[in-house]
This record gives sequence, structure tokens and C-alpha cells, in this order.
Amino acid sequence: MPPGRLGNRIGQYVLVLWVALTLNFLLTRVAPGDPINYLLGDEVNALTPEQREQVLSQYGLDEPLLVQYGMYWVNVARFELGTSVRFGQPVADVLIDRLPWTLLLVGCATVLSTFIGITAGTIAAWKRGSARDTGLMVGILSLEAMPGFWIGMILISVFSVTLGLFPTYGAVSLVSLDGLAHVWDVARHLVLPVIAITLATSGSVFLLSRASMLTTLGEDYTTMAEAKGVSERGVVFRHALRNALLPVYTNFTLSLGTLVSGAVVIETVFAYPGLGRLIYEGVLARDYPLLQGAFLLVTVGVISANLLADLTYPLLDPRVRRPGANR
Amino acid sequence: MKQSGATPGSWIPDRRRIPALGVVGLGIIGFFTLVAVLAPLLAPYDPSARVAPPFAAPSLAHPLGANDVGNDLLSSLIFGTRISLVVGVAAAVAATVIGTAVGLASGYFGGVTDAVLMRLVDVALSLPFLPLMIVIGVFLGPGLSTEIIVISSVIWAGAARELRSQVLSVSQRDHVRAARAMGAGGTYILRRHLLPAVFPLVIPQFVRAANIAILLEASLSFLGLGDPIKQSWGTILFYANARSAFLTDAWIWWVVPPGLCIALAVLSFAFIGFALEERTRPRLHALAPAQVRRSLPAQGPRRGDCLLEIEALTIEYGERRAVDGASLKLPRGRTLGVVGASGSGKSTLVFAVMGLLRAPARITSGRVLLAGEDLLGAPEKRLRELRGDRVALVPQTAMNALNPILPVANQIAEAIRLHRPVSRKTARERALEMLEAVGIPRARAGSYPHEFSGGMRQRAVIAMALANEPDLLVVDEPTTGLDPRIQGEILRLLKRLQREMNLAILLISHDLPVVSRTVDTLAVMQEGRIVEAGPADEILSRPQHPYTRRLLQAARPERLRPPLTSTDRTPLLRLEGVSKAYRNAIAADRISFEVREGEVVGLIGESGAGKSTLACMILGLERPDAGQIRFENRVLNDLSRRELRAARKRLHLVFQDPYQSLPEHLRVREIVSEPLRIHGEPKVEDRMQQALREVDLDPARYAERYPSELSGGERQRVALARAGVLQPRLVVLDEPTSMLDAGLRKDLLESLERLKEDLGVSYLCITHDLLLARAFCDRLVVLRRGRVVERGPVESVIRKPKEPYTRQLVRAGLPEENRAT
Repeated sequence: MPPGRLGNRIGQYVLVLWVALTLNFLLTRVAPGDPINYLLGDEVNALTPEQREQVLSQYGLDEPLLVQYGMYWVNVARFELGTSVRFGQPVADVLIDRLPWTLLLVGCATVLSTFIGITAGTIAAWKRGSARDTGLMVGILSLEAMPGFWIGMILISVFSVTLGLFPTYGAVSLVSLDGLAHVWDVARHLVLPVIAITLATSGSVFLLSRASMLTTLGEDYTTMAEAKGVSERGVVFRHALRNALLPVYTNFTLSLGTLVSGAVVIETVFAYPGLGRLIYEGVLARDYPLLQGAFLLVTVGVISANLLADLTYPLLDPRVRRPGANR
Repeated sequence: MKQSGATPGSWIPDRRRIPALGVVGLGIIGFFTLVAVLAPLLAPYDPSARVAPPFAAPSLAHPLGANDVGNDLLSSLIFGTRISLVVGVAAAVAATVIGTAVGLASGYFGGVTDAVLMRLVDVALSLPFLPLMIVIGVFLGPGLSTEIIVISSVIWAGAARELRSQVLSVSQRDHVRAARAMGAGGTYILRRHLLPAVFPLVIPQFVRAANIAILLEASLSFLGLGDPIKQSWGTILFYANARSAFLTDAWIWWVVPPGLCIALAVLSFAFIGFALEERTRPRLHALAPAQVRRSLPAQGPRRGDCLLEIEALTIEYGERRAVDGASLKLPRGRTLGVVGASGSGKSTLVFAVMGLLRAPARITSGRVLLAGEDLLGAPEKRLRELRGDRVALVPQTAMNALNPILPVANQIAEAIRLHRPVSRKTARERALEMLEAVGIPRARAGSYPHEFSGGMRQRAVIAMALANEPDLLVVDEPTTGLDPRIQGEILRLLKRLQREMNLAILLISHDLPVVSRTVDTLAVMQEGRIVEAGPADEILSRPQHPYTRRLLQAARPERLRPPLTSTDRTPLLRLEGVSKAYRNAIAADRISFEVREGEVVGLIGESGAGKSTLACMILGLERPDAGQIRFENRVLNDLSRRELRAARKRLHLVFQDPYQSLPEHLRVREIVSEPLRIHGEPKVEDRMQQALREVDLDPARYAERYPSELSGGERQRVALARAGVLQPRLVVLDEPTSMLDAGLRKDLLESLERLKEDLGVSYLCITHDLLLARAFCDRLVVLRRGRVVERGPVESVIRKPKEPYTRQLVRAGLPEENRAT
């Protein structure tokens, strides 16, 4: 990516981060009700007026809004996100605790759904109009239409409750294991949630890959490759695929936010101890500091992933890596 | 670019299957809507009443059983339909309305509005919105309105972005620019051009939004943000999950039906969206080879004196015969030209020779023999061996035939290694030699295609085609899209390589003059038939078939009147030192010239010479950085809005591409009368009819048609009628014939002359076509890189060019002239 455009993108991400943080700040202050309730939970109602004053000044809530805003930034920079009402621990600690599980889950599901989506999309485009194409199309559209959490519920009912093949909830068993047994345990817990997220998200990758592949197969250079004697398979995989993947790659990073959102709901079904489940618990407990912290962490994660994608894109596309003089 | 660039064997739309999906989708949605409306009548019980024992098994009274508190699950499901649809549709409507408004405002106003709105959209798209919305939802408290707000704020941004790009592309289209040049105001353009063009896109946007909204509603409700009383499908699942229904026996009745309903509703919206999309993007066919069903028997190799023999070949697409009993012969080392208008079946012929015809093309009879070997009966594997080895192709628009992500030399080396058992190193060395042979230095071999100029890319493709020293080279429209000078270079290069390699060349073109210079024998094709074939000289000097004669005449348009020579006429348009620069390129550099009353001035030069920029400035679509443009002796830049509008009644234009310059959603009547309406002129109907007759279009037959029902030539004449309806003093013609076949060019020329005769208009004709310039213009102004390099009466510029650049232009554009001098 030319330095100018990269600078633009970074500016964009900084803007997004600023908007997210400011929204976060304003929500507690502007929403109806006393901010102290949002920050500390309902137990503050039991405080005496003096204690209340004390708490207010302790949290800086008696300062002017702008000063509070400044303090908020300082706190965010130090990763001090307040105390969770539900867990009675610093929000940052709770988040750090849960983050690895979500990374594991979303990471596995992303790799899998991207792989399945691209492969199926390529085959469908290659065999376009055939029974295989139509079958893949209808099958994948149907899967995409199903809510991910519902797929999760059905998977649990069938594979865990009825067949007893996989655990019904959580990321690890209650008995602590170590070594290989632990890895095996984690993997067994991972299977169903990963399948649920994969099924719910590979559809969009499929549709995009198929459309992109179709466009690419209609390009003049594909005809030229055929005309010089490249086999059909070679045309599809050597000449078309890399070109077709460019828009898939850019769009994939755009959809990361959606993917994480999908994980929120599916972790809930499986009681998987990741950020998503945490958000759900936060919703039930009306734990505002926790929710805000989680949202902040997800935003930073999505933005970093986008930035990573922007930085790596030039490796895929020589037109961006080495902008020519003639265009 | 020409529309016929698509490869004929492979991309034929089939519109039967997908709309059926759309009907299914509509049916399902219709059913759900009915259920939602009639819910109180259909549901056997009040969904919130305890009417059965908890976890009751399905029975006649309760077909789906009951939940943990004893609510009837079927009734919940029926009322749930109501809530899910209402929330989904309301959110989709809200998102579409917001998205449309933002997209329109952004695309229409541009500038700061656009920058601010688009930043907003970008931020909205890159925020992980669902978590944020969950947070906000918690602050707002659960409920239906919360859900609607949350969902619509998640999905509006995507719609806004897509609509904005649509508005932008529409407002760049020639018909909008034409309306602007006619003096139309902003609201007029918005109402008559932008909204009608963009509106059809709003419907698919809405369908997509509804699709996402229903899924999001389910997710939000599942997280407990739905209304606990007015339960949607998602809320039912929320309770099922919260109370661990799937650990009991009741799960199948409690969990499966709502999920299936959600999936069905979403799927049906997806089907509708898919059907709508396929209407604009026709479905594509499988890469299966074309069916072969022949009358002539296949036969083994036979010795012939000809390298390529095509015998009575007939190829059909459905009912249509693309090639009809064509027979051709091409000996080794010679060149055969096939000439015909677009749609005459030339390209299908090319694909048949290459063995690249795809279904639904059917070869119903005939043979294609290469060195005696029957290509049509050959298995795909054999064809692949031949392609690129014995038969090579330089495809149409060869500039785009290189894979953009692979270095050029690698692509050539690949062609070699496909057919020769050589090492990578040897192949690369050979690739470099080939590049040198076509005049690309070794140092550039590692370049990617985008680092080459158009001409270099064309030459690299030729190098790739010839890398294995084939016997036959098929060249499809080698000159389309290239400047005349580069056209000449490419043809000379082909000739030289032909001599060196003893190549046979099959050259396909619609451009008779180009072909006639290069070939030994010539075949003229019309509607799939070869109407005349023989030695090129003979056909050129004594054409037998009337179609050939027409092609020849049209290729050399004749002057309809002698050039004006008097210089004492009053100047109508005068440019004085006009300059314009874009970011880093100078488009016009102190340009001065004038157009006098009743005169036709030709502005010639290669693409990139700055001709179109100049036209835009004259029409007030762009402002010059420096200099003055005077029209009727008044400086255009100094005029008030009102005066400028008045001036535009007497200054008009005809765009290059008649497929873009007419709005597809208006009838011919409305298109031609548009300038009258913009300026509030009286007697619209009469004058519209008069203008149509002026260009030889019968108002009774044409007035009610849409542009899509017109041919290219008819379209261009409608554009001309629109330009003439206000009886302007000056009409600017931007490459008026470049998209037309030679025959139509002649017709248009006649219409132009008549308009000039009847109304006394003057023309400024921008063109790179010297044949047209010579037949039509009185004086020429030659532009190069934004500067006037030469000017003068038409014949003296063409016969005695002073500048080397003009000489090159003339040599490339008028080969006969070159021969004569």
C-alpha cells in the first residue's frame, strides 16, 4: 500500500477508536439515571449521603465533564477500566482472563470457515450452472439463514445430550487435567462451538468467493491462459484463484466485527468462558463497566486485525506493492 | 470499450432458473405475512396464558406442546411471526431510508458533505457494532423499539456506501453531464436522472437489509434484549435456552420450530435478493465444452496443402446461427483476413478454431482441419496440446490478456514449459528472447503488466503467443482500443514475425482498411455467412457482393460538400490561452483557436492529447485555470448563472458513446424534448417531432421507444436530435462516430450535414479519426499533450503537414494518403 493511503487508513482507525471510546464515556454520563449507579451497581442506593459524596469525589464524578473526560483517557491508557459489579474484580483482569478463549474459538472458526467458503465458492464458480453449483448454493444459503446460536442448540441436543459425544458446556472439564489430557479436553470442548460458528459464517465467504471467481473467470487473461494450453484446473487454481481472492481478503477483514458478534451469541449457548459469554453475563447483571470494557477490547482487536490486513495486502497484489507509471 | 468484448462461447445468460427461486422466496414471505396478519384468528390460545401443564407433550389440543410455564407453543410461534416480521421489516425500512438519504446526499452534494458523511459510514462499518449496540441496548432497556434502533444502526452504513457509489457513477454518466451542459439545475437532475436511476437499487438494498435484520433480531432477542411480553421467534429461543429446554425431552418442539421459521424467513429474503441480483448480473454457464453434432464425418489425418481448412462450419446458440456454413482456407505462411460488422460471427469463428467454444454453443455441422487433423472431434487433451503450441491466440483487447499478479516473463515462460520439457532457466531465457524480439528490453522482463504501457502489453501478448513458434496465429481485433500510430506498429511487428517464423495468420477485424493493408486473402462475413472471399487486391478493386461494396464505401467516407475557404466570417467561439492542469498532468496548455459561423473545425490528436478536457471546458462542465473562452463574443467564465443558462441554449454537444449518453429510463420523446423543458420553451411536441425528422427518424415510429430498443446508429441520431432541438449555433461533437460501424458513420455524417444546412449550425468536431476529419471538417487544429502543434485548412494539413507529429498521425490514419505521396 502506498504510504499515503496507509496513513489514511491509520487515521481512520484512530478516528474509529476515538469514536468508540468517546461513546463509551458518554453513555454512562448521558444516559438517564445517576452515573454512580452505572459504575458501582445498585448497592450504592444503600449509602449515606456523606458516603455518596465520598464515592463521587473518589471517582472524580463531581468534576466538570471535560475533566472527567481527560481522566477517563488517562485511565484507559493505563488499562484501568473500573471494577466489575458482578465479579468484584478490576474489569481489565476479568477481560484478560477471558480473552484467550475467544481468540482460540474465533481463530479456529475463522480459519475453518474461510477455507471452506473459498474452496466451495471456487468449485461452485468453476462448475457454474451445474447441479453441484446449485446444490452448494442452496445448501450454503440455507445454512447461512440459520441463526448460529440455534445451530449450536441443535448440535448440543444431538451430539452432546443424545449421543453423548461431546461435553455440553464450558471450555474445560471441572476436574483439572494436565499435559496431553488437558489439550484433548480443550479440543473436545472446542469442537461444537467451532462447528456452529463455522457453519453460520462460511456462507458469506462462499458467496463472495464465488462471485469474485466468476468475474475473474470472465477476464481476458483467463481466456489467454486457456489459449496457451493451460488445463482447466490450472486456469482456475494457478491463474484465477489468486486474483479472485483479493476482494475476498479485503472484505474478510471488514467482516471481522460481524464474526466476533457471532461468537458473542454462540459462546452464550455453549457457556464458553470467552468475551461473548462475558458480555452476556454483563447484560444479565447490568454490569456496565464490564460491558464497556469488553466493547473496548473487541474494538481494539478488530482494528488491529484490520491494520494487519492492510499491511499484508501488498504482499498479495503487485499493483499495490509496485504502483506502475502507466496508471 | 466495445460491448462485444465478451467471449462468445462461454457467457450466455440463462434467465429461467433463478427467478423461480425468487418466486419461492416471495411465496414463503407471503405465507408468513398472512400468518402475522391473521395471528389472532389462527392461534388457538393466548400465547401468554397458562393453558397446559408445563412441558406438556404435543397433543391434538397443543400440536407443539407447551413450555415450562404451560404456554401453548404453537400460539407463541404464530404470534412470534408477527413480532419477528414487524421488527425485521421496520428495522430494514429504517436502515434503507437512512442509508438512501445519506448515500444520495453524499453522492449528490459531494465535497465536504461527502467527506463527513463517508467518514461516518467508514467508522460505522469498522466498529464492531453488535457489541456496541448490545451495550447501548442495555442502557436503553430491552424492548421492541430498542431492537429496531439497534438493528437499523448496524445495517444502514452498508446501504449508504453502496448507494453513494451508484449516485457517483450515475452522475458521471454522459446523460447527466449532457443535462448539465444543457443548463439543467441541481433539482432537475436529481429528480429526472439520479432518482430514477438509483431507485431500482433501493429494492435489493431493502431485501438484503430485511434478511440481516431478521437474523439480528433473533440474536438480540436471544441475548435477552427482546420484549419479554411480545415474544418473537428469537425470544422464544431465549427462554428455551435460559431454561435449558434442550436438556429435556421437550426441546425438539420448543427449539426446532422457531429456528426453522427464522431460517425460512431469512432464506426467502435471500432468494428474492438473489433473483433481483441475477436480473442485473446474468447467470453464467458451466465451462463445459461445446456440443459437437456434425453432418460431415470425422476423419483421420490427411495430407493437404492448406494449414487451416474450415469446411461448411455451422455453429448455433439456441435458435440463432452465429456461423452459417462458413468455409475458409489458409496456406502456411500466409495471412487470411476475416472482416465483418460486430455480431457477424467472427469471434465465434475464432473460438471454434481455438477449440475454446463453450456450451450452449453447438457445432451442428462442418469441420475444422489443422494440418489435416480434425479439431472438432479431438479430445480436450489433444486440443490442449495444440493450443499455445501449434495454434496460438492474440485475443481481442490483448492489453488485458496478461495476468495482473504475475510478472510478464513468468507468464511467457509458463507458456513454454506447458509444451516443452525444458528447465525453468531455459524457459526463462527463451521468454526473454521473445520479449526482445517484440522490442521489450530484458531489463523490463521482471515487470508486472500494470508497469507496461498499452502498446507494450499488446506486444508482450504477441511474444507469449509466439513463444512456441506456432504454425497458426489467430489475431482477434488487434487494433481495437489502440491509437492509430500504435496500431501501425503492432501490424508491422506481426508482419515481421510472420516472415521470420513462416507463420500463418488468421486476422479478424471489423476495420476493413486495417485488414486490407495486411492480408493476402480476404473473406467478408455477414450474419454468419462468408459472402465473398478471394485475393485481397481483387476484392478491394472489384468487390462483387453489395455488402462488401457498402463496407468499402463506408470505409472511405466522401465529402458531401467542398471545404469552406473564406476567412471573413464572424468568430462564434474563440479560445484564448486556455490552460488546465489536473493534479500532476497538464491537460491544456495555452490553447487558442476559433470556430467561425457556419464552419466545421476538427480537433485531432491521439488519446491523452487533451481533446475531451477542452470539450468539457467549452461546455462549462470544467473551468479553465487560465485563459478565456468566448462564445458569441462574450467571455463564458464571466457570465452570470442566468446568462450562462441562456448561452447554453445556443451551445450543445453530442457525446462519444451513444450507449451512455441517453438515459435508459426515458423515452425518445422525453429525451429529445429535455432541452426544451429545461429552458421552459413553448411548443415542445412540435419541435421535438421536427428535430426527430431532421435526423431522419420518423416521430410516429420512434417517439415512444426507449433507448434499449434502438441500435447504436439510431441512438446517436437521437442524441443529435436532442442537440439540434433548441436550434443551437454551435454543436460540439466528441468522437461522434467512434462507436459506430463504418456504414452507420456515413449515415450520421449525412444527418450532420443536413442539420448544418437547415439550421446553419457550426461544429467543433473532436476526433482521432482522420477519415472522418477529412470528409467533414473545413479546418483542423492538431493537439498534442495539451498544446496546439499545427492548424490550417483541412487539405493542406493532411497533404502538407509541417510538424512530424502531424505527419505520423496522417500516415497512421490515412494509409492511402501515405501511398499517394
